[in-house]
Amino acid sequence: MIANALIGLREGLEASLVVSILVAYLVKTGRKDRLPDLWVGATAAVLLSLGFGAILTFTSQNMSFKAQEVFGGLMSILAVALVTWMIFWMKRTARFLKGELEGKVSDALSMGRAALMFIAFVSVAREGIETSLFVWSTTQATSGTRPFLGVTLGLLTAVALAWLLYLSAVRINLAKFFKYTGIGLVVVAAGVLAYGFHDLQEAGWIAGLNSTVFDVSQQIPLSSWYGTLLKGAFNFNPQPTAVELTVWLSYLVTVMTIFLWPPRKQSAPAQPTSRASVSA
Amino acid sequence: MRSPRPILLLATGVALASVLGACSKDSSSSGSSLGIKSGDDSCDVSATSVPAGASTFTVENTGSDVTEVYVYGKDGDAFTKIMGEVENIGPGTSRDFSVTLAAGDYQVACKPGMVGDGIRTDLTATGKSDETGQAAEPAYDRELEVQIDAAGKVKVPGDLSAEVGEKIEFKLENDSSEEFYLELLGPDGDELGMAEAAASSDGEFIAELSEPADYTLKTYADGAEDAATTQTLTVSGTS
Repeated sequence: MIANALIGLREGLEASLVVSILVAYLVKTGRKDRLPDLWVGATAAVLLSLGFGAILTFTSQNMSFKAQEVFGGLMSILAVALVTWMIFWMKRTARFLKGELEGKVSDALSMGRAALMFIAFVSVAREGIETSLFVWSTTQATSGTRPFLGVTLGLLTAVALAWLLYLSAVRINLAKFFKYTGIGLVVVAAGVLAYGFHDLQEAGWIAGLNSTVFDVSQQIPLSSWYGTLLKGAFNFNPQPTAVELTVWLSYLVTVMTIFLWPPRKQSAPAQPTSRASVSA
Repeated sequence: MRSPRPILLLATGVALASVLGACSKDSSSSGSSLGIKSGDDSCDVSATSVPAGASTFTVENTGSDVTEVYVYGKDGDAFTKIMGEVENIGPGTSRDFSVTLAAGDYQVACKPGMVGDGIRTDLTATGKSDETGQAAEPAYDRELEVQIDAAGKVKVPGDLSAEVGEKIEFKLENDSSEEFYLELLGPDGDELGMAEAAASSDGEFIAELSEPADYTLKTYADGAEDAATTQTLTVSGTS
């Protein structure tokens, strides 16, 4: 039961972290009216994944391993593109909000409705099929209802953790919120990108699946609770390939640098440093 | 900006539906099946060989930790090329996955805890490759065709002679409404190959003629082996 719960927790975290930050963003910027759009995207992804997983589980239809990896890989890379865009969107919003002011962001500044739905959808659907296949398999378990209870418990724990993240995110002041969630999202996105490349390597689209750089899977097993959290939140892989590690580091360093770079104030380009605190 | 953007949403929906649609069409399961029991320190595969082509593997996790199962093909000398896999099999649950294998050698790896190289078991895919097109067609020197016409009459080529060492594909083309068999018997009466052709279909086998002697070709309808048509195939040369 514990092992099944840990899988549920890991898969659940992968889907819910970005969503919880999006919710916090909407609440912080006074745009609760856009929450339904976000829920529509996330719910659509859950229902589609469950439906698709059910078809694969209960009918003779099946998806080849390669198609599954390609789907997961491309969706992950798409998710990273969207989250990166979101990170810089939030940074831009932060500049206009000027620190503590928690006013309602104007329509022009708020993220578009379609964009919100799309980000929520892709973040959840990315690992959705894999998760739903796992959930459905537990409903057919030979060993009774314990596997299903386990995975349900794990998924609920993931949602609870995402909820806690949301609660702590809405409590901190706006400037810190944008900075910390931004940094957090960059790390999450770097992991998702590396994971996406690993999927494409498994599918045979990119070579070098077997040239792993190091292996700490004995020290940090993915089936431990800490391995589960690291994998669920940051897509930690204890046995990364050279391609994965390169992609991860390149993304992390590049995007983090751009994100933390002090913004230029257009009226005063000569003193950029004095304006650093606006977004930081 | 308050207005929804139906076109963008529609485009998104269509794009995703097509991705999902493309995947579901990928394959429908058919062919043989194989059971794998993955325990904490064990990996029991129900057979050591499967027919080449599409196979469905059902993995049951009998252990206490999460597991995953891979089927590896050869990449050079090492078994590192993933032919198929299923991850995230919780304790007490089962998952299916399908793999299409060309004839050749493979390894099944169970990875309890989803780490390491796994517990490996050899697996052979036998026979002619089905639909993959990956396995080379077994080479033969020429074809020899036996026809069954619509009335069930057997037609054998006029020249039934061969050289020692020749590899011949014996083809049975059946236009009748009955099932037919074609058998090749060696000089000492052993069956060297047999083709089966259902009504209005074909069958074939490949045999190497290694001795300078008389071989026998036997053609008969299903259930009428006693009334078989037999021909002598003379193989000449020195072995």
